[in-house]
Amino acid sequence: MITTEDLTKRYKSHLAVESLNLHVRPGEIYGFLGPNGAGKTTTIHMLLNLTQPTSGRIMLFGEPLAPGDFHFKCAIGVVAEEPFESSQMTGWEMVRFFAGLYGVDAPTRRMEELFRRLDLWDVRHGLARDYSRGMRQKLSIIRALVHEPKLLILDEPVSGLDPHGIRQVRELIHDYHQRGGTVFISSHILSEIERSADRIGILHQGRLLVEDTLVGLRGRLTQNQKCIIELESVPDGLLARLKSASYVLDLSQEGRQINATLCAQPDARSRLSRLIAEAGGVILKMQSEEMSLEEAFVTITSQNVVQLAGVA
Amino acid sequence: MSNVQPMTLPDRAWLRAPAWALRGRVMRQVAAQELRDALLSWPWYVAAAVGLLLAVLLIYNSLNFIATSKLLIMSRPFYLPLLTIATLAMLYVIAWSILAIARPRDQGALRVLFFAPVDPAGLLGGHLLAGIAIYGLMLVLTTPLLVVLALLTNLPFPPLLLVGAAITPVFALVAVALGLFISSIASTSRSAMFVFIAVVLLVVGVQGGYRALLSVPPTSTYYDALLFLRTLLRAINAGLDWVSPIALLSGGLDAALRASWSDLLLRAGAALVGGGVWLWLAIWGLGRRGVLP
Amino acid sequence: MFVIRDLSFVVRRLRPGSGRGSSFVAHRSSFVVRRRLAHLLTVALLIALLLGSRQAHAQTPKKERAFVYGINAAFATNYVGTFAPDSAPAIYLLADQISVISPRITEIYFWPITNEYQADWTLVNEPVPGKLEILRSGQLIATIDPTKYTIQFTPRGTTTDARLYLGAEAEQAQAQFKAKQDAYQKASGEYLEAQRQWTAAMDAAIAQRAAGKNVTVPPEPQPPAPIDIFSNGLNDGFPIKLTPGSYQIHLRSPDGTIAPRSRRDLVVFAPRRVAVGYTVVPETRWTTPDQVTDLSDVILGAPGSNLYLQPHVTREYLARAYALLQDPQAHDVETSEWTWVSGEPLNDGQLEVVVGGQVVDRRALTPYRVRQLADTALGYEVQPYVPGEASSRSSPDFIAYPIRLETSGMAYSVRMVSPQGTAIDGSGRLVRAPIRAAFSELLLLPAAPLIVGAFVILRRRRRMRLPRDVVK
Repeated sequence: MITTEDLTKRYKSHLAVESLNLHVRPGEIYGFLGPNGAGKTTTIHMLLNLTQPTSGRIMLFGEPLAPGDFHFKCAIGVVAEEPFESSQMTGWEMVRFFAGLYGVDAPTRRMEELFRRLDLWDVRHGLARDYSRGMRQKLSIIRALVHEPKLLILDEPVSGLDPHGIRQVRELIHDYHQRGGTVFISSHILSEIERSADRIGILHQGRLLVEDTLVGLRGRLTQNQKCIIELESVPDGLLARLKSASYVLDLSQEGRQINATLCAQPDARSRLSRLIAEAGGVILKMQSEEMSLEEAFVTITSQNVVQLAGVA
Repeated sequence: MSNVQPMTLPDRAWLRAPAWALRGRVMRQVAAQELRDALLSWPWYVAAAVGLLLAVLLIYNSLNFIATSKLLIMSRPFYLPLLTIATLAMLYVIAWSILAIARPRDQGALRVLFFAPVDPAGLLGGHLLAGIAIYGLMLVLTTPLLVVLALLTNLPFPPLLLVGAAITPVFALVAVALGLFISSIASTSRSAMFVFIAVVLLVVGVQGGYRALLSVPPTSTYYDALLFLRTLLRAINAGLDWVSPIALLSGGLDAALRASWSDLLLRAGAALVGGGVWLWLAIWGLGRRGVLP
Repeated sequence: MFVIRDLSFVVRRLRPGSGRGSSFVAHRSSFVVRRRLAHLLTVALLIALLLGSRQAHAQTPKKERAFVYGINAAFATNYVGTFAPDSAPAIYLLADQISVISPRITEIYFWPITNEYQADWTLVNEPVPGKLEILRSGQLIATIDPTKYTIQFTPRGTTTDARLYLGAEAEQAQAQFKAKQDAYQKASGEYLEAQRQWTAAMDAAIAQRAAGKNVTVPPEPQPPAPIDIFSNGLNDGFPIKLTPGSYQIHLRSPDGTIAPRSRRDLVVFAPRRVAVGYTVVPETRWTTPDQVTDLSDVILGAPGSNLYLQPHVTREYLARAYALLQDPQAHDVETSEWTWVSGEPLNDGQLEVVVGGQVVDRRALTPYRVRQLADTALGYEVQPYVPGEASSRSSPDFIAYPIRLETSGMAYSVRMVSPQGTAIDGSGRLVRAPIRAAFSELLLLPAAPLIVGAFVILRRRRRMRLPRDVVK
């Protein structure tokens, strides 16, 4: 559905996206993760021909994307934060206007369904600029779905939504996916991606660090273990010895409890136990936890970028 | 939504759809929407009202003059009132078109519009149609009121002036296209306004400079040196008559009143060519500048 | 006395010195009392001195010998005399009429007040030998030999008719004019002698009557009829009659070279439109009539007013070309304006009054006399002129076609018809007596868009209001 080959975007001295190779398959939900400023929005702009790549190639629906192409947008719905300040349109009129741009002949039934589904039916004749942020976000989703696109690109889709709204949108996306639609979600809210994405790409400083299924990614990243060790007492010099150990990635102390993140070595736990014993410590309790995607993401992007890039 | 059906991969028919068909759709939608937006806000009505107020003042002044002087030879009755209204309408659409692209781009709304199958040609074409319609509707609203004014005061309203009014949207085309060009290339809406003011000052400067050079006496040391500049400014001045939308408007109304159809057609042709050139430049400019803030 | 010496294109724009110097003296007399005022006056004094010195400089212009073209440009039934020095790169003439240009050497000087060169024809006025060559787009299209010419002017009321004679006709016309002149001089001499004899006879008669004798008073001699024609004399020049367009001219000297500084552009132009205009004389201010020129002009009169129309031919020219026709140095003229120029009067035919396409009246050209009203009724009263009536002068004050606007709201049109009864093209004009509506009533019109706007916008806003529980 979407393929990019060595996609690069450079703004003068700033490299926004570097040699990006994305592969979004038809019918899947692709989570495009990355911290703010990673290059996610720039990538989306390039996919939509809103900005031209410095180098590289984009294939959409199996066809190469050329500068000036705009036909392909008939089959794409895009959700992004929208400004409505200068518009005189009501929510209903705005969606109808976009339905017209997409060439939807009789959008009323579809619009009514979407407005009701997202609880905007009663305010459909209100000025869009008077909507709350959450209502605007819902309106943006309706606008993106009104023409029943083949590909849905979502840029921070749940931003500004309350929990109920988040659930409504999630269900809507789920239904859309169930009907065979392809979803490309760009977000920095990992829990959202974790819940729905089939495959995930992690972008950091313009580079794609990882691209894998959620299971595969978790498999690769959660080999790191979070270990909680409760000691009778913490001997002097233990922390220094633990920190110097190559299999300990992170370490913190809360009273008699030590929290350690261990790298993906099979004997890391036993080596840790041995080291504590050698230092004179008595282990009362030792508990291991799998890392969440968020914890893995933070670990990847904030500490081990270079290392994980190699892994990816 | 509950009736879940598997979707097939998109067929490729839309990839082969002719660009002009998509553009035509976009132009219609954008034009209708922009026209709606303009008609649902006060400035359009205020511009029409100010134009009519000036027209009424001009006519009332003439009536007062007749009462005191007993005789007035009124040349081209209602030409000046109509020209005033049309000029104001044109200034309104110029201001409107100058902000038409730059302001939504500043706000990020243009980016959202381009999520849909929209390209610069379709968008600017739609705005061009909207601008002409906004101008034309203002004349449609005000011209009958001028006829009412004529009936109320027993002043004749030349039917040829209606012909002139009907053709003036062609001249508005130049104004709108020029405004869209400035709007497309400007970095922000503020700079678009600055560019427009600079253009106006340049035109005024050329005219003022030409007049100033005319007053340089032949005995002046600089007379010969300035002769080329004077000739150049005179040529630019003459050229402006065929480029400036306001000059085309007044010339067109004048030609209509004289029933000089060849002159009118010539000016309409110049307006179409000028409008086409500005529109092409606007499309090129928007392509270069892009739609992102 | 009756000969305009040498050339009619001698244009004198010399103005007597204005009183800047004398005003300075007046200022000096009040140069007292308050110090602040004194400072101001000092500044004024300095400015006056500067201006005075400029003027003094202007009054002693530097003269130089120069090649110029003297121009007698045909215009309607008259000729306009002017000249083109070096600083005028183009000569403007009307199409399809014979104008005459004449290369001359004269003394010119720059006159700062008008920003133009003036010629001192009285000092030097030498014809330049050669043939005039006319080129179009660089191709020679005509070579003209110098020709004798004269222009004779006949005053006709407020206008003047001129006639150009060329070659042998010119010599003959000039000879006839000279003969008329001589005859008039002879008749004048005889009249003076007869007058002298009559005065002597009257003196003798008075003396005889004083002595108690009956005497018969001799009839007083009558002066000869004045010459009603003027001439610009017999001169050499190049008659030019061309179709509209841009040309170039230069003078080919007898030695085959082009005379120095003789190259000029020649612009030949024609009127854009020709119509019948009217001079409209309102009864209340008959000395300051208005002009109806453009075909779209409408005559608007107050109810109860009498208007008098004097038709004439009117032509529309490019204002710049028309100004340069009269003065090739007039460069400070708008480039794109058009101007109507009144021409010869049309005093034959009738004026038709048309209402709704039907001719309701025909007016004949009527002579009028004007009586000034005294006391509180200050103004004028226009009455038909009846020759021989005791109160009438020897001639009418004006002749015109009368029209009247009876009531407010009256509307009709007028047009001229030829003596044969056919309507003359371009003579129709609307005549109206406007209704003076109250300003407050007229203000309803500009209010209309605002009312429509209020209806549209407020109605929509009411529909668009969000429920109260929805907050941003």
